[in-house]
Amino acid sequence: MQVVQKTKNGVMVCYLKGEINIDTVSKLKEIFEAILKSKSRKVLLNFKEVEYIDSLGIATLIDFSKRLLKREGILFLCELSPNLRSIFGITKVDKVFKIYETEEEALKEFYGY
Amino acid sequence: MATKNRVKPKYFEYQKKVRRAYQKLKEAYEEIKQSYTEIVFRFALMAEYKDETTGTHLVRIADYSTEIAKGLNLSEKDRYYLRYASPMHDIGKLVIPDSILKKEGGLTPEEREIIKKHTVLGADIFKGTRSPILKVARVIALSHHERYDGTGYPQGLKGKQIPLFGRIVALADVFDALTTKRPYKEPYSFEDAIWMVKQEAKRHFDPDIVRAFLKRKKNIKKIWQATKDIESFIAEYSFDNEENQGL
Repeated sequence: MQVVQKTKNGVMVCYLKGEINIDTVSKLKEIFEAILKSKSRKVLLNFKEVEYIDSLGIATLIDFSKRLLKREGILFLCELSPNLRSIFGITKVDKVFKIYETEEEALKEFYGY
Repeated sequence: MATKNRVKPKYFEYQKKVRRAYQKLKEAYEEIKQSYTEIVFRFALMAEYKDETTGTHLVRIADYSTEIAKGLNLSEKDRYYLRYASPMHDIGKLVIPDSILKKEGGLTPEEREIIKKHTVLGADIFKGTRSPILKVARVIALSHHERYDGTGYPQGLKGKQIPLFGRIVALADVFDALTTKRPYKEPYSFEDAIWMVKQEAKRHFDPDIVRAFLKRKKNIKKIWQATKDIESFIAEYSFDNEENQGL
């Protein structure tokens, strides 16, 4: 799994690539820890190139969003790949996260915060 | 020398075109592959709706089955097939009438026999497929209720006669049923469920599969815990819950 981070208009955008699963999730946890320690409070995760996410991956997202929320941060997700859309759909994870079709759309939403 | 100079730009141009075409082909392949696996999950969900279990059950079945496959040192390809095929194990329930599937109280022996048919019906759905994932799905749908001691259904196969993928999903499915809340029962604790799985080695389950499962106990527990976290979080924060607005 690879992660590329870019700051766009004060929003920390993370481009995730590959599989988020029990064997790769530790890398994502490390990145989330670093974000929580930093000043970034607006975080956008781009899932365009994520092929699969398992239970551990979903739980890691949830844990991060909870901790970010406690620090008055906001987490948005965008550009879900077809696989992610179906997995988030069947697990109802799409009912708890704000998910946007495009990165542009998500970034616009951040302006209100 | 002059000829070389004329050839070079053409060659590089050609190389560029090939690279671009390959990239496009790769992207198209990825898109088709993703759409295909998306359909697989959504298709599996239809059967779950009928049974009133949750979508997280499907992801867990895939996760537990993959862990067992790792414990058995199966190839990456086999693990991939198992991940996408295992959620479709109960697909045959789509053709079982709701009046029987959702009946409250006890079932008559005839009704029980009809429910057992979901294995054969599931296999029928995938009959003649050329897709490797769906071929595995067919095997799993047919054999995930067989038992190692030969007392399972629909064929009453015994021991290693039961296809490997069927033996794996049998354990994953039962373990998940034990550890989750169902309309008729409270969940067993993680350790109690592990104990029950051990007790069923050589009876319900292949002892080799039980061994592989126990070898991966640490990860199995992580999956079990993750699911609990996901479900409680969704119950608390879902947009469907009128008391909150999501995150």
